[in-house]
Amino acid sequence: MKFSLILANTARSQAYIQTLISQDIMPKEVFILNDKNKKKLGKIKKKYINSNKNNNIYSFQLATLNINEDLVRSLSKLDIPYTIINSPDINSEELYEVLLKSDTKLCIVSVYAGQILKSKILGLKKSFMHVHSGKLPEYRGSTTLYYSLLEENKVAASAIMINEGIDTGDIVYFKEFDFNFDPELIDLIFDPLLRAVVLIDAIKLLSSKNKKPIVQEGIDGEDYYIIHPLLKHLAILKEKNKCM
Amino acid sequence: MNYKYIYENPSENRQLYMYSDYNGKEFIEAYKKSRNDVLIKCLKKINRTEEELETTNKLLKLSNYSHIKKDEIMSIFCNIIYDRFIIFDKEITNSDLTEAINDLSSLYIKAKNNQSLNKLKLDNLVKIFETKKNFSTEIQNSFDASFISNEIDEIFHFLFSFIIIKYFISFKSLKYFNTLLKLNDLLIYRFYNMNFINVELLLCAISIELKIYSSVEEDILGV
Repeated sequence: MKFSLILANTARSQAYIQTLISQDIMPKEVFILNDKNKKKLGKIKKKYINSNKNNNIYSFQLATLNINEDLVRSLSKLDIPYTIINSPDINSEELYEVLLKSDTKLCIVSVYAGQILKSKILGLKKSFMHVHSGKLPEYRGSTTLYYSLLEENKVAASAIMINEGIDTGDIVYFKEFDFNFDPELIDLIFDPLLRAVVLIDAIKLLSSKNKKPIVQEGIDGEDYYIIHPLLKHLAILKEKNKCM
Repeated sequence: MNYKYIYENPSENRQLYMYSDYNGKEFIEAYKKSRNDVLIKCLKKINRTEEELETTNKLLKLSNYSHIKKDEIMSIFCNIIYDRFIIFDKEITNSDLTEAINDLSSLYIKAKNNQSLNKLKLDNLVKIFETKKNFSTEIQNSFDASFISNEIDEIFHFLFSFIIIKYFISFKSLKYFNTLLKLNDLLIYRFYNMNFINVELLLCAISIELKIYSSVEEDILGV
């Protein structure tokens, strides 16, 4: 199946491309949203990087993330064609023009925090797939991993086709897991890996053409907003207590 | 360590809560200390006022707030808000209110009368607050410019505080406690940086938040 990747320069995008390559699933083309001022969030922080290189590789199920390997390095190793878009904005004119010329019908997106696709880009004759780290429609919105850990002791991710709502698109694939990871690494390591696992299954499912996406019921579920640091601490401490 | 979330205006720093760092139990202690510091400052400020309001006196008598029951503070909170709210009542009925301000007023009356709250309306208010970080634009769009003041802005934020506390107490959904924490961070930021009028209301709101936090912490961590 032919597909494109639209990737922000983040840990999540690193996990996506590295996991896809490890599973021998190659994108036809990749568009990297360049964050020139480097101020966008979602990048690996220096404190995560261990002087022992072997300790900088994380995995969850089939997903993998070497935090020292940036996007360009992963792509260059296998000569996967990529284009640098000189804007971090998923709705930039530059990206729109490039996509207009692209013949792939499926675009998998990993954007910077807080961005949503506007009607112009959604108006292109393409499907845009996003992996949300939460069970849908129960947990729509932001940082839902923490809410589901607090409320249900589970984590989940859902691959959806993007529409104009927030996490309201048709569900391609969904999977729930017990949480068994360092809870301090949720944001920049576990979350990217979790989404990468579901991304692989979603692509396989779409390739098999056996299953049609499930339409979400509009009134079901709950919208969540970015978790307050106090509740985030409670979620992490709760998981740490389990290990003691 | 400092609890930093009361020192920045969330309307100006929209990434304030994104990818927040983990600092262990030390952070939780910093949060509690920061909130308790606000309570002490509120009490000192109330002590200095010469007003003889019944509710103010009641609050002063209850200065050992850690032993006050949540219901008792809610009752005081509700009464003070109502006293302030009815001052605007005429203006509210005459104004061309936005849907949000109209909903804040009507949900507050329902919450005050212990009636069930319309979740869709409440969720819409939560959405507006979480995305815009305050209701100030809604207030400006609802009232005549000559009428708008810090006081009316504060009162509508405290109406929202009262509504989400009531809803959280009934349904225990952390989504609403999450919004309450951010709302109180904003109000404390204003208390420290602007001309803040309703100090008694802030005292009540923070006292209730701390009591809710204790029960949430106990539920989650079992301590």
